[in-house]
Amino acid sequence: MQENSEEWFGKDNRLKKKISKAIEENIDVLEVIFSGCGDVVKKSFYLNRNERGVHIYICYIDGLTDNNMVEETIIKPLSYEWSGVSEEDIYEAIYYVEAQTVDISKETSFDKTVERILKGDTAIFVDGYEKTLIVSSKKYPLRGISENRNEGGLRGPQDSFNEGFRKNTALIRRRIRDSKLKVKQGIIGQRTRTDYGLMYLEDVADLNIVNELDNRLNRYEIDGILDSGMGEHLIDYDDGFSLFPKFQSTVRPDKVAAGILEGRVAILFDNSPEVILAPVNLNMMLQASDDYYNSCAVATFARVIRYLALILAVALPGLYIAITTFHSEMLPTKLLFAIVSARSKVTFPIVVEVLIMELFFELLREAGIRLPGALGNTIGVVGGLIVGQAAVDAGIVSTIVVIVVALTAIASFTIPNEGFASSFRLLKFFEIILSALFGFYGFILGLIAIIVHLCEIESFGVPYLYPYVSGELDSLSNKQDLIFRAPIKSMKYRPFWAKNRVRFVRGKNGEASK
Amino acid sequence: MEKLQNNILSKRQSFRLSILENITLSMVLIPYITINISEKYHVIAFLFGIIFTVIYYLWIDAVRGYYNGDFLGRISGKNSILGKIVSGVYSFRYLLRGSLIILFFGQVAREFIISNYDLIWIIVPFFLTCIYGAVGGVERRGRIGEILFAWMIVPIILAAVLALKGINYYEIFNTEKYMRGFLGRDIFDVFSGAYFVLLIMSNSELMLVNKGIKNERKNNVIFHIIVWQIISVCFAYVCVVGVLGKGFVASKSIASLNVLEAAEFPGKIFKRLDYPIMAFWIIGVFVLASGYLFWAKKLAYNVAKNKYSFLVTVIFCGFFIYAWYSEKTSKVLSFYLFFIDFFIGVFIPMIYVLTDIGKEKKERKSGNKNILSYRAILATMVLFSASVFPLISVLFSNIGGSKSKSYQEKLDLVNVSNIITGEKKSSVENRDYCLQMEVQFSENKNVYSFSLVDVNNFQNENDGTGSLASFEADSLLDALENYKKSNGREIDLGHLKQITLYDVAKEDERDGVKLKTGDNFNNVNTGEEYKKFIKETSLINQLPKSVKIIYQNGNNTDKNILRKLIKALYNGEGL
Repeated sequence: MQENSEEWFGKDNRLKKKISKAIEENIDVLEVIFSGCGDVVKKSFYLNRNERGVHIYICYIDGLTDNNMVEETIIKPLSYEWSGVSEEDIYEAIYYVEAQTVDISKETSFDKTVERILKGDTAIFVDGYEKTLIVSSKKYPLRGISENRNEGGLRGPQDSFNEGFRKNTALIRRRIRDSKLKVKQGIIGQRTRTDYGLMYLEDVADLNIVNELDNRLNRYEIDGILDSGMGEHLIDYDDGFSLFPKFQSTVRPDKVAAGILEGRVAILFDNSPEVILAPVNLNMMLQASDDYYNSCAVATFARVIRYLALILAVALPGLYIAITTFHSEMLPTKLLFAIVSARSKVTFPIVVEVLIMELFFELLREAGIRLPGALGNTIGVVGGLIVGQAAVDAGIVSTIVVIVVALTAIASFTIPNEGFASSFRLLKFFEIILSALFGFYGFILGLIAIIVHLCEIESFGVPYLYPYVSGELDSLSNKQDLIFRAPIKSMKYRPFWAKNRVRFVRGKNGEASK
Repeated sequence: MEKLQNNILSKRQSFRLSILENITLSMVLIPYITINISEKYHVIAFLFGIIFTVIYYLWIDAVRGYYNGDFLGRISGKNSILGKIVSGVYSFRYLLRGSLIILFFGQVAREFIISNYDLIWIIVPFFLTCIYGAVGGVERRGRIGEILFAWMIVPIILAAVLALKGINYYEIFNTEKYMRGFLGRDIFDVFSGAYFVLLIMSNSELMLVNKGIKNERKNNVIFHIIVWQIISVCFAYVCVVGVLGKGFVASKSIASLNVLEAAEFPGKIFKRLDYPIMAFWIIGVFVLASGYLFWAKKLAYNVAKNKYSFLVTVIFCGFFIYAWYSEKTSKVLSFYLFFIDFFIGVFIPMIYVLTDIGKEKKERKSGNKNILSYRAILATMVLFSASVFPLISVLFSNIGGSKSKSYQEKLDLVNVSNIITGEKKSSVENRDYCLQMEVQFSENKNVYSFSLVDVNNFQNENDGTGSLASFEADSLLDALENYKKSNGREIDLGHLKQITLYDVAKEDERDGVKLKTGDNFNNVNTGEEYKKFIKETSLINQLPKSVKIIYQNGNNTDKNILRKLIKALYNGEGL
């Protein structure tokens, strides 16, 4: 039988075999499929239900399953704790009476049965039936709900998603206790069979976006998805290649909940702590959760800083090169002489100096990510202070360039979304090269090219630069949540892509918004 | 979710695109053109030009309204051969205009921003950027104009406001004495100047092919466009002529941009703002040039619905840019653009309007389209009348005073032959910085003395550390060259604070160089060497025009700033 086992699977890696009434055949199939799998637990035993006994076969994966639950809800009630009352239809009896669990389902497909086993459920095969019973018994090895370390903030909840799909949906459900919050689930990946879910408010989100997302996810046949990032980039390029992300990824449940309330759609993937939201635009990438937990003045100020940081992150090194190489007349005399004095000991041209420091910083950044905990922090201090200072003393770079590069780095870290900030990290080199070649002329041409590219990007029909462009789409809410954040009680309307534009807001006299 | 309409511009997009497309070059060229064509009547010519422009906009509005904002659809509708021919003609026109703009811009960039490259290496990256801007649909084009609007307008307004303190209103408003005079033979000069103002503002023809939102007429975006453009152009005119002076503005086509150098940031955070502001001005040129390329592509697609239409359009544009390099070809193309192109741009739409009126009357259709068509016809008559004057002046060259030069020679917009490639600047630490300079004029060679800073010990401008270098030379540039040859380093004059011009009536000896007396140097108003020196400094972009000049004026010592002396020199006034 093993010789023919390859014929059991289709091109999509799905098992074509059907469940047989003869349990021995089913056992043989499972033995072949799970041959070499030491973590699969298979148990065959007989139930004393009638004169001949009933042969049942239980299969689950050790490590993914709650063994105690299997014992307590299946093995014991069916065997030595059996009540003694015998039913005609053993299968129905187990389903309705004997199995001591709520989460039990019937399954007619062998492929789905195997899939459920692989997901951590327990399958019960009953002799004489062309169907199985599946008991939900998952117990994944997961880390708990931890504090989020990648998306900081001074105020607001500190919990973050983890790798458990159901835990993540639960974290969102805790925040949106509305029956209209839907979770449209599916599976992606021929081998990984990764669960994914689209979470949205049925009466708020545009269902066209939901369907479009679902279609895109189902369009691809791929071995597997190991993280939401893979899923995101799989479906991202449908709108054409761009350095800029067309989804917003986050580990913060409050951010996802806020997005869903705005009419956006959240996509969760099993085994991934990052949830992605769509649609998205540039303005959203520069918003942080605590913008909404602080006063509007504080939030507005923070956003102004972020917008400035965005410009600095892409423009500062290029500007420095353009001004010092081509247009030194712009600088105040004293500053120019300070630069000249600093550069007098440096061997390399300005552009090489800047590139060396930028590459050095990228090395530092990469090393800091790979190294764990305290060691990563130490490397940051060592690299930044000691090596940087040593480079200045050795005449490789000047102090001004260290300042420029450090400011650029700090500016890029100010941007809340890491994927978005990374786009500007790359574009910074584009600007550096153009500025080195053509000075201000090259700098502005690069800026024009970037802006033109941003003009053409859309995320599910929403212009990336909205509402700075195409603002006529939305006269109600397009100015409430830009650089200036309106007071919460004034934010009565959702953005234009939401089906239901009006939020629930009560006025001073208790009247509801219309 | 409301779907984006991919082939319609919103009111905001139409407005912003139109402003960017029209005022970018108008601000630069209108002062130059009016002063060169109409000379002392330039203000009157400018005002008449504005009136013609308003009439032109009303004409555009009438034609657009007649076709419900979709004149392009009328041209390309029904896929007729006539439609293809007209689309081809329009495509050719827009490519020619776009190529001239790109070439003109290349000259500007070379003169002001990046003088050490050949023109072709300045044009190519800009051309590629324009091609990128011309890709895609109308919605994308609208967004580009919408987002880039503030990037150009805010710096330009900032520059104009910061330059205002140097303005001399007398340059603009002393026209009273000329008012009576122009009604004679000089009326041809006035209306010729006015016509050219209209010609420069005719970039707004692109509004004819922009398809706007359906209810745009109700929102009356054309009124806002007219008001804003007129205000912007007038403001720019007053700033440019008031700050730089008529003479200097008329000296070359791009002289107007020197007004940016006059903008000073309070507190002198940046010493010079002209480089960054000019860099932002490039945005407006990009929007205009890519606009022409974009619509040329769309029209070319009407001619042949082929995936290579865009490539063909780009190749033709490149070909036209190359064509401007040849002196003979550029004369022919200039003549076409000055005197024929505008007519075609008015003639063709009016033929369509008149033909369609005839059809509607035949079919007995009525409605308020008639009002629009009558308005269009009336405006056309006025516009044609306005444009007759320069033609008459061209055909009968003795009319309008002694006009020995043709308009093409006067309006030297494209002059690729005389541009000299500058040398690449050395890096900042390999230059010597001069904060003070002295010039001693003599009969043979002048003596140029540069007070060079010791950068490492610099405290303030008067600390006296540093060295002195003196050279005999015929000109400042020669002196700088001599220094470079002898020391291997160049002198940077970008931070010059003061220039002293010595009266050499007295015998003097400086650094072992004996000077000869001359009796024509002791008066700054008659001294030719003074004037030659001032003129030379006006051509060196690196030299800040706000530098103090101390000079001998008879028996007195006077102070002034270089910009004012340049203005006086070019205006033919006393220094």
